[in-house]
Amino acid sequence: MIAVAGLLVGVVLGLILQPSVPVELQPYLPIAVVAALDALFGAVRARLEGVFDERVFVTSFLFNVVIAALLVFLGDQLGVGSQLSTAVVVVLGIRIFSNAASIRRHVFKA
Amino acid sequence: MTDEHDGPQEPAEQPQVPAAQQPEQPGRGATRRRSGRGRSLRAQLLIGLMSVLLGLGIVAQVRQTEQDEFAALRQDDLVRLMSEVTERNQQLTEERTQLRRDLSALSSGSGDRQVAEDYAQLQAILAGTVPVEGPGVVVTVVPGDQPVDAQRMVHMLEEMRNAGAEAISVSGQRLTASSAFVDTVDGLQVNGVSISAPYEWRAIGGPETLAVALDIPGGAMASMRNIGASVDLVERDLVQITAVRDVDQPEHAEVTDPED
Repeated sequence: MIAVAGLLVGVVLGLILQPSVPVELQPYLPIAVVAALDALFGAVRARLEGVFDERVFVTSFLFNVVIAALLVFLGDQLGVGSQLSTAVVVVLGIRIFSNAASIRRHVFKA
Repeated sequence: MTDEHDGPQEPAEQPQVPAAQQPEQPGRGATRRRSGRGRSLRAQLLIGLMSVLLGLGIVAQVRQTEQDEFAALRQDDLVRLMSEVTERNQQLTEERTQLRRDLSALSSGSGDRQVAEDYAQLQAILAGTVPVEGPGVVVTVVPGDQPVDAQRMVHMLEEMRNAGAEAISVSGQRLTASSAFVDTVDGLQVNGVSISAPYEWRAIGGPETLAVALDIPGGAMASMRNIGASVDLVERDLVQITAVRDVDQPEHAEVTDPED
């Protein structure tokens, strides 16, 4: 609940404040956002499965975001930034889908 | 990535942790549950804060992407794109310069050529070096008992010129600025060539103007008739003057700059 509320507050805040992304962070923000979404979906799934743990959620959220950004940063340094960010997005996308599938199973029992 | 909350191992891991930690920290699971409110409040605040950050991030990213279609592109893509654009720009600039040059060359060139052609044509007509045709009059002079003298011929020529004749010939001799009628014992000479009666004048100009000008009382035709010659004037829509003159290179006159 609080996560959804926080998300809404964040969106509203973003719309009101209209923050601009710092140039150095621009390549990493989309990946970080996707990673955070992945963590959020995972949290919802864990909640539905009854194994939700705030600590795990908080650490996985931060860790996911940092790791995703680091991977992209590393890819940029190695000259494979675009490929690596694609890879990260694909992996996170697959995870989001599988999480969404189990959420669906829990919610709709199907 | 494997120790995340949402990982597939999670359900298996979760029960393990308390089991493994039970001996060292017997109360951990219970403590957490007991102090659940404080922990949960802090954790929930943390979760809420992170969600806020996530929402902010999403909105910022979406706005960024909407704002600038290049924002999502990577640095090397942007560099490549920029070099492509720069190259294309350069090509187009060169093309534009080339086209401008072509345009100015074409316009000035054709203009010069046109003017030069017009001028050359005008000069050729004035100098009588080209055959010409156009509306005009044909005047046939048949002398009577008295021969037509050079003075009367010059009179006729002057009248024609006054009436705006642009090209004149008489009996196959083109009359230009340097033409001269000369009375000789053998008869009339023009341009150094003897001509004999009947004399056929051809003049290109306004036919009516010419006819009226030549026919005025005391004019050229009247003076010819005075000496018994019969003069016949015909206005025509098309008079052809095929006689031409050779123009000698000027021996003494030189072109000077009008500025001097």
